[in-house]
Amino acid sequence: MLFNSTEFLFFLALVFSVYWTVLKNLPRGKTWLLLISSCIFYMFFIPKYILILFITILIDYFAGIKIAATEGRAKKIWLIMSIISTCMVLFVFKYYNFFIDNTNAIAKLIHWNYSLEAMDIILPIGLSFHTFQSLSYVVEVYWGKQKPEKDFVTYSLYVMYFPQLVAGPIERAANLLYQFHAKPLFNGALAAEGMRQILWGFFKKIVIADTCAAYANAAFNDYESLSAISLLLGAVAFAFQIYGDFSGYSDIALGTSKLFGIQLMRNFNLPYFATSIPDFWRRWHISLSTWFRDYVYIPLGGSRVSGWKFYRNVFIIFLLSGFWHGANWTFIIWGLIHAIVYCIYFAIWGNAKQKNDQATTPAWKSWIGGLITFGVVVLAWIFFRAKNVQEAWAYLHAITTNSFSGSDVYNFLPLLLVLIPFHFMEWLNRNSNNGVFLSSYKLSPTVRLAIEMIMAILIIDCFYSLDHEQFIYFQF
Amino acid sequence: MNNSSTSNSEFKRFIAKMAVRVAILGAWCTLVFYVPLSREYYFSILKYSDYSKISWIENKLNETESLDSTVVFVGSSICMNGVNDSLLNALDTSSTQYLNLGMTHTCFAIIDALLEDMLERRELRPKKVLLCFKGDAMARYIHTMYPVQATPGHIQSSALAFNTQYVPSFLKRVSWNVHALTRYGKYIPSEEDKEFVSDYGFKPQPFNTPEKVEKSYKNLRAGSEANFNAIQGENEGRMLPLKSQVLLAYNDVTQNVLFQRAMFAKSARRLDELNIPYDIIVYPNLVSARMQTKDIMANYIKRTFTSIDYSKHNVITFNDTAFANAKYYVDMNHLNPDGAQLLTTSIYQELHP
Repeated sequence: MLFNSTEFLFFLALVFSVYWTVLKNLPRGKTWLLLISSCIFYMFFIPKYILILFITILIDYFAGIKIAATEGRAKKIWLIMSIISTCMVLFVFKYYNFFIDNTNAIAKLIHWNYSLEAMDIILPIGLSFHTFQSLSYVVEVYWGKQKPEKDFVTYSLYVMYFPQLVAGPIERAANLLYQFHAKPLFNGALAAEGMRQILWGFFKKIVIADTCAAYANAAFNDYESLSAISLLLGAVAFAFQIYGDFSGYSDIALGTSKLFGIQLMRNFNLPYFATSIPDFWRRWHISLSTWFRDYVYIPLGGSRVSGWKFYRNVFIIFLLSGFWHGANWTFIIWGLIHAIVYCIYFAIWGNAKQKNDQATTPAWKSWIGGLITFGVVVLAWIFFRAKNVQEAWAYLHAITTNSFSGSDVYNFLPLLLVLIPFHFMEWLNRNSNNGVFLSSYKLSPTVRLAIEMIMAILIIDCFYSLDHEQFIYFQF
Repeated sequence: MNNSSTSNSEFKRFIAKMAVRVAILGAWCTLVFYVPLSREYYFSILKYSDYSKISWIENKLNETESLDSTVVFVGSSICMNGVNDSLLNALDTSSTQYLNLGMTHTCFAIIDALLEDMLERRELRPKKVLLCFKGDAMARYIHTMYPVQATPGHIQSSALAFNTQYVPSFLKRVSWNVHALTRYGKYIPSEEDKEFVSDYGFKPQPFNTPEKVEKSYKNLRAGSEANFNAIQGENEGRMLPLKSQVLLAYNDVTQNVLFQRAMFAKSARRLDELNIPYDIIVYPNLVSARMQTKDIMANYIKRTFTSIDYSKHNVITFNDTAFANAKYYVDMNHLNPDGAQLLTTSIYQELHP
């Protein structure tokens, strides 16, 4: 089920009503309701895929219990078994064809008469997200930081909780499980905040991302004939499309969850105001970057190791992050660009600079840093957006060789009428600690209501007058 | 007061707040819905879209001073792609002219809005109108572009008929009224190749291989066949199998279908009141031709639209055998130019026995 569909609005209204009325004094019933709702939500895509999810849940549930109950070698075996079985599903559905294609290409290159058949398979929705969420649970249990969840229904809900099931945030057991066990009472302020966050999320997705998508699609579909300025604007449009799309989804997820009294972690914190690439990664897809930090980067030694090992760790993290997004070389190059710039930054300024970015840097330096960072991010997005590496290079080549300006620029300039006000709105949000638009301002109820109504009308406008783009991160 | 009762009162307050917001938003939308914008604006939205023909029809009627000697075809894409009005004009050496006003998608509501515009607002009186009926069943959905052709009053009337598609139609009109202001920030592709440019309303479809047509037939025929079986069962007054009953409940006897039927009957009534001659054409498709259902469909129409005087108005059907060949189609429903030529010639013969 898509968040930007009328089915979801009816579904949410129904689940919310039953949750706080019929089941208001039945905590167990609430858990069951959320689980059943999550199953229905998931089965709107490809119903039979729920069996795959069920099997991985079952394996990790028992693995968690066994890991906690055993010691030494047996404990490790249970962990490895759990990781392998969870990752196997990910490999088969997401990476098998990539692996086959590349093996066949290498075989052809060395004139070896060898070919494997690729599978005709559809990727289960949100697979990378719930796989990582499951992995974090078993690792936390292995490290002794998390008690195993004995209740199968609650554990299943931890993996399947519908607001964040298909595109995150990738939650941690320590944040989510205790909230499922608590007996939440209805909190009007939290629910109202949730509704505002949903509205803000829809605004970002439908008004900003879908509007930008039209510009980005036009640029990427016709890059051979467009002028350099149009292509640059097209790349910037994609930067805002993916931001509005993904952070909008996260806002809808966080807001929806707040309606049930459950708080999810913040996933975005104004990433396009970052003044450096390390700063960008503290603000973009926070749940994934902290996942890699906690479960890969730190176990490898993080920044405590010296010399080449640190740079190795950075490259591993970013290449894995690229590969996590999809089985395509474009994503790997995207990660590589970030890794290179991250390492250059670190080589020049070191770690101390990162920590004090905002506080000690003069404003003009932040501006320059911000512009350079945004430029690098947009450059990397070109690889992310392109169908393949050749197309990305061709796009970059067209920017440098096509005429600098042309009549087509007039088709792209209106993009600024959307981006400048939106960027200003984001800037107004800079002191908000929950990401909800204008939440850090004390506004009169009438002014707030008027703003909400304008946003709602614009959402209706764009919902019906623009082509709807699928949430980009659903494919991951 | 304990926590539980505080929570209860908070919940009620929250629901009340939300209800107020929904009411205010509804009032805002209603206000925007009724903002009168020019017809030119609405039709300009469609000029370079897949629905460009609707915009063409508006321009054509703007340029037309009289339809007194013109036979007008109204209906869906099967009419648009199947009736070659240029050929009809060539075949008929008399002063009678032919005009195909068919448009993509089956919806009797948008056809009735078009007829109202043509007959009442513009006061054009065609020599004859040929209403279109799809060979394999009933319209269900309100046309995506209904809010362009329809007035706010038309859209509101669909709400009074409890049509479940009222809300999207209403919001689409709201959206387009806001779009008049916000379009300056949107990327409007100049897809000029989508513009329907022609002196005639016939839109020939590209040819397709018979193999691909057979594939389309294989994939889609089950629904049509079930519809026919259900209709035949109804005609004969026999108990239908459970599967057909379920299908009929889903496809046929819903509020939306009843609304569509009412719109078809309204069009017929409108023409009767103005004494404009009209007939109903049951257009063939691959399933209807192969199942030889022309009599079933004719019976269905006569049984459903009882207010029509069938001694004055014909239900025109065609020889099934001729249209059972995949070589005349681009898919299961739509004729290619050869098929259109065959159909157009058949229509001409029906009109000039």
